[in-house]
Amino acid sequence: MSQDSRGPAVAFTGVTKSYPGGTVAVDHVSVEIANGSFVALVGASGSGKSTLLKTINRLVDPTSGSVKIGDEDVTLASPHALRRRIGYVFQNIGLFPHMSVAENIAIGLRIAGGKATGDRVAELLALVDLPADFAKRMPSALSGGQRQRVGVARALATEPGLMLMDEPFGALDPVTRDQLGTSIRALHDRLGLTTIMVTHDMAEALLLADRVLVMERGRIVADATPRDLIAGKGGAAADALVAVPREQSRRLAALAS
Amino acid sequence: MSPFLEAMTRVPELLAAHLLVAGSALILGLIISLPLAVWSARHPNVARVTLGFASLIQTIPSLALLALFYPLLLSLSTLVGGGIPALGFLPSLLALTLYALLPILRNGVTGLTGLDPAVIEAADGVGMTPAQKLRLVEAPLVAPVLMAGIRTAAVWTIGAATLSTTVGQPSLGDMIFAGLQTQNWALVLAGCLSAAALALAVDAILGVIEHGIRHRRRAQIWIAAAILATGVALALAPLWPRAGDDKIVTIGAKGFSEQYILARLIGHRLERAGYRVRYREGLGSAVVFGALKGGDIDAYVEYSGTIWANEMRRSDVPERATMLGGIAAWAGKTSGVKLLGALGFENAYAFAMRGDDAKKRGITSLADLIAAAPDLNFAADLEFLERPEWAAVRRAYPLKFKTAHAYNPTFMYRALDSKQADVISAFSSDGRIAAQNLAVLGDPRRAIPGYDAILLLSPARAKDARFAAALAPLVGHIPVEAMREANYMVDRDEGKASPEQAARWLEKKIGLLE
Repeated sequence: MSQDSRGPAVAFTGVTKSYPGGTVAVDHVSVEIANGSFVALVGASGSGKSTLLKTINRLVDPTSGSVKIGDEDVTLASPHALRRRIGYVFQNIGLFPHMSVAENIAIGLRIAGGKATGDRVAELLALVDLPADFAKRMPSALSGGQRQRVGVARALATEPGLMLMDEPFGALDPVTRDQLGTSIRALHDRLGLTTIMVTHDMAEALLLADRVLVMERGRIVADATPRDLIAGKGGAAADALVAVPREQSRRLAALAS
Repeated sequence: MSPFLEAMTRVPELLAAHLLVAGSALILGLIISLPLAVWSARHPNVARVTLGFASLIQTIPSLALLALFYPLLLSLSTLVGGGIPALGFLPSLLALTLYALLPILRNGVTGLTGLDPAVIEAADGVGMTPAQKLRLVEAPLVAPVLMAGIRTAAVWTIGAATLSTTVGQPSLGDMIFAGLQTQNWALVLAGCLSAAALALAVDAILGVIEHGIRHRRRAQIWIAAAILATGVALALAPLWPRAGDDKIVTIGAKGFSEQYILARLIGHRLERAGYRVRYREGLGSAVVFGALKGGDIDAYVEYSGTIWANEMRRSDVPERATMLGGIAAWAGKTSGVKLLGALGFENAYAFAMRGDDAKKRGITSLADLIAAAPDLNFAADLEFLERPEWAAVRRAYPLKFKTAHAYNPTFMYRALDSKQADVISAFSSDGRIAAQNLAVLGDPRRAIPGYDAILLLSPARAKDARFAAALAPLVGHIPVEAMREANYMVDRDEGKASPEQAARWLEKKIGLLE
């Protein structure tokens, strides 16, 4: 794994996803994400942020519009070949319960015809701050936070340049959330990834991302850096979301004084 | 040797045939239902159709399902110009396969649709192809649930295979059906216990495999699978091909004592002529002639009236000799089946009364019965009141009994004995007529057709001169009194003989054995 590799850019052009019955999950979204950036997609439930994320690795195919990774349209390769180049981490983790931690981490290499050595598994476990002897454990013997760390290690095993994270910390306790968030940001910087993270937690987005996209009813309603959002330059919809952590920190500060 | 141990000596060969048909059905069921389960799990509409069909099959009684394949295969065979066996292994295999589908299919679909969606999303997310997802994730996770379904299917199939006897496939059911008919409870018990032991053993071994899959113990899975494979191979040993198998002939028999005895009688003659003999017993009345035509059996004893009415679809009642001539010509022309000859006795419906009662009332014929009938109770066997013979009798003799009830044959005779009934529809060759001193009523208006026992040979054996020569001495040599006595040796509660022993006795009686 080279330290200076940079993740690819991602570009959405007029991406729309509508379902039979008239529901429009994503409504004509066009946005470009620079290579090597950490972008948070923020919005309430049903705002279309997860759907937009999944059009990148084709877990969702858009009704119209196109998605490009670097210069290549995502529909050029077969879905499984595309997904093998993209790391994917999601809230429910989805570790394979019949496989050990080592087998889970090595699955991406195995299905591509390769094989992961014990050293490689240990290296990946170290990357997510887990001891090497976890390799032999079964997923059922891990805590929620440990499972998600294994989920991240599994996503990183094939050395993808692009990481997609769908509410990766949604099911974790606040302490674990914070620790894992910090680890992910550190990995992003160290490996030079492009990371797109979906979250409904504006504080998390502000603290981890370089750029925050706010979605509402399938559209991007705000697009700004965390600094600009805090400064109130993100527009009304973003301000409403930023107001929550801002108010919380004000009250916490008041308690301390 | 105790009757039970004697019965057990028949087990190995029948067990092998039983296991072969049940095992083949289970494997074929797996081959069909596994892809169907995957397809159904992916498409709810398909699942509705496949599960609905499989459930519908389960509502058909297994006996009826087996019987239904006979006309189905027969017409299919006619359609493609012959060559499809409608009896024996094939219909049993198909019916049992259909039976095996539901538990495998249902557990497979339930297992697949019940998988954690997160695991499936992860499988897609890491870039598995659909085939990899099935092999690496879905199959191992569904395996324990699926295995439970396979166990159910195995137990059902082994149990239902006992019924394949009725379509001419040898199975442990041969012992159960023959034992029930001849009231040989040792035989019934041996058959039931063997079938139950087979089902329990297979279920236990599959259970160990299921446990191994569930707890990911490879060694346990392989050891149990090896035990299963070895057990199956050993149990099938009697079916391994041996030299001289081409000289084996198969004698058919319907499901009652007289048929069992006569089959042995025929078999003994052929053994003496150098043939190796096998018996296919308990064949349904409806399938046995088809089995002969198709060469599944080589010879059996039929009754002229049955062929006349059921196969030739005739409703007139000619003289016995005319009927025999007609049957011989018809059989030779339409199927190549050879009527070797009549054995010399009839097994027709015969109205019988207690001898002393008949004498007291002065009744010797059906004509005498007309006037007395309103004071008398009538007991018939289960199907007689629905048969054309009863309608014919009533046309000729306007009988109006006080009551008319249907009984199982054994109880019909008991009802007469205990004076619950005064007249019964007996069988003319039944040994109980003599044993209970019954008076058989005459039929002066000839309403009841002739039921001469006739020896029929398959088309292939019709040209086998040695075969015909071995059986020729039976023609015209079995008087009804001898047959009744032999039947009664088997059809009694106290000191009963096996059909084998009765056949030996009959051979001596009619002078075929020194």
